[in-house]
Amino acid sequence: MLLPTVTNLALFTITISMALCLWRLIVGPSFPDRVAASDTISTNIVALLIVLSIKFTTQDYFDAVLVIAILGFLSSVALAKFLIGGSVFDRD
Amino acid sequence: MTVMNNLLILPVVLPLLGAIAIFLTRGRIQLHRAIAIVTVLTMLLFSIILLGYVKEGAIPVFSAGDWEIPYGIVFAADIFSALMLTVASIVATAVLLFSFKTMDEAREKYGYYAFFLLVMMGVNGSFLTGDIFNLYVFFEIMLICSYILLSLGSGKEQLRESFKFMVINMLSSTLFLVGVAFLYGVTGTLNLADLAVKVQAAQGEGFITVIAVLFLVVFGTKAAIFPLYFWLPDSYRVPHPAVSALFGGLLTKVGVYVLYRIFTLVFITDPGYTHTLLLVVAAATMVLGIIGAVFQMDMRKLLSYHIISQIGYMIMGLGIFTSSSLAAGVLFIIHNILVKGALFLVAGTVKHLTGTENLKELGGLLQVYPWLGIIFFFAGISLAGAPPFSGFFAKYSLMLAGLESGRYVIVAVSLGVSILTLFSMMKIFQYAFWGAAQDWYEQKSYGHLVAPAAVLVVLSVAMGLGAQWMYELSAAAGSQLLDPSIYIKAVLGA
Amino acid sequence: MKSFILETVSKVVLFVILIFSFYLLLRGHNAPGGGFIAGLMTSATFILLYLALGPGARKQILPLNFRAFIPVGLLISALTGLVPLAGGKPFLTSAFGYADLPVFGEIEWATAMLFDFGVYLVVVGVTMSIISVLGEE
Repeated sequence: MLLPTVTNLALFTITISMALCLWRLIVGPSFPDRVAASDTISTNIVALLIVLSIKFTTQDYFDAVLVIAILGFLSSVALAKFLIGGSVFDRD
Repeated sequence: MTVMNNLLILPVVLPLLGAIAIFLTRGRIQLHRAIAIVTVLTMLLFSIILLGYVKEGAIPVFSAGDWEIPYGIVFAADIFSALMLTVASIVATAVLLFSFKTMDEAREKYGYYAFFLLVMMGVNGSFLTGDIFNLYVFFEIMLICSYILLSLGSGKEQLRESFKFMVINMLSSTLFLVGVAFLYGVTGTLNLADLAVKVQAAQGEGFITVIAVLFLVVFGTKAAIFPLYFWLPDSYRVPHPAVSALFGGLLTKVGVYVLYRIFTLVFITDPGYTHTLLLVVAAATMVLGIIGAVFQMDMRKLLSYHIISQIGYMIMGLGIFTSSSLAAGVLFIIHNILVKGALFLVAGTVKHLTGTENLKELGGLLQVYPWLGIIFFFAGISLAGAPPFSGFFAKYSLMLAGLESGRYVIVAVSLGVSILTLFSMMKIFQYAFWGAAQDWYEQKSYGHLVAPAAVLVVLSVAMGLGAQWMYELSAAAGSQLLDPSIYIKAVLGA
Repeated sequence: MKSFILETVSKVVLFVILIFSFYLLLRGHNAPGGGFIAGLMTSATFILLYLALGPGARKQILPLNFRAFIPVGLLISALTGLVPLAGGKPFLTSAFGYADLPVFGEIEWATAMLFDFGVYLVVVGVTMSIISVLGEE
């Protein structure tokens, strides 16, 4: 009985955290706030899918998790580069 | 499994292979032209063979990847599909020949012919597929390539109209996908024949009608029926004349084809509501389209409004929903594709020769370019419905079907619209071709420019002279459409 | 503006993502994955290369014309679909069987994978063309 309770609790917490991040993403006074918020949302999606795959006892989500993690990483890198350099790709 | 079943994939694969060959040989325009014309002619040949094969009532069916039938992607060709395929190939050939003479080098280098072939792939696929999600895929192929054709050579106005066209079509494609998802959620299948069976079983449920209306909105947008036609006149006016001939002749009719297919096969559980709605919409489309046309002074824009009005006639055939009205509708679609293609090609030739399409600036073209005027005259009165052209027989049989089933209002409306059609055709003729020649016209050779349009007009005359044969063919198509069990039996095999 | 941390990290991560994308490609014909997502992942590695080292270095490391990938990929997919026609089978029919490879043991193969490979090339080609237009203008 413990496992379902814990997973449900985890899902609930993650959802609240995503909602808070979404709030920050919309309101976020500065651009770095928004970048951090979107990065946290993608991390949260990863966590959400992992918890879901524990809940449903399936491995099928793991590949999706990897894909989302990689794309989240890339988008954060691109946004960060845009933040410090003003452009995503360096011109040389 | 006969050979013909497997060959059904040809109209889709051939243009794809042609496009690949063009992409692989960048920059060699002469070669591209040869590839394009060979591909289109092979398509034409195949579709005529297919028409001969299905004429007697056989429906070849093919399931991609040898999957069992309700699960795999199915292709099926009944008489209506084969007819549409043939006419599409004919118009494509004519437009292609016209493009050879008028297309500028920049567009050709950019891969005009490849995207032309890919549009044809989407069109052919939409005619043949028996799977509603696959239909979405082919529609998207057709639309994405048509965005490219539309914006190729990008002038400012052209880009603005292409953007409008793109947004509207994206929106309706999204609704299409939502509709497909609803259907799948309700019935658990995507195969059209299987859908027909499952929807029949769910008879009387309100949500089927809701989904039917959603699909009406989706394909109504793509086919430009009332009140969703506002995007069409502007976006068909701006691209290269050859492109607008292809669009005006063919693309909206693909939407009409799909409406015919799904409203005779799947959504027939509540015809009292859906098909009456279709009739109301048809009447409004006819009237508003022709009113728009009467007040236009731009040749291609006027013709674009005509498209809308003519779509109304096609939907009228579907809305009356008897065997003879469907037959008349099929005949009308075929006639309209040919004639509309010819009219747009003539308008394109005028633009190519004089550089303008504004009727106020033109005049007396008949004296300088007599053949142009003659072809336009024939195509115009065929559109308006004068004997012995195809338009007369198409309209006559449509009205007869309306009178038979007692739909007097729509018949009266369509008669009135016919007169206005004739009036607006005469308006173009009077302004552009009649009168004294403008002194700035240059005497150019133009025989090669009007030849493709002439072929289409000759075909329209032939359709009129061979009306008996054509009517029998479309009557066979109509009775096949009215009895969905034929299609279902052919696909599901039971 | 170059970042030393990003450069070092991406040199390690790059190969992991690349291997993952091949994994997705190879299993795609009967499990989640396939040519489309594998193509996207491979493009992700190339984009990472762009981001970390700049377009000039990308051209030195991978001197490829990505636009040429599109027709080649389409051709492979179309031909894979057409081959069964010669044997009288419907378009796109996939042959499959089992093979014993030295290191990997018994694996299942399917010609559907060739089709996937074509899709993979198209996706890489399209994505990288878009990125290079956006990045280099």
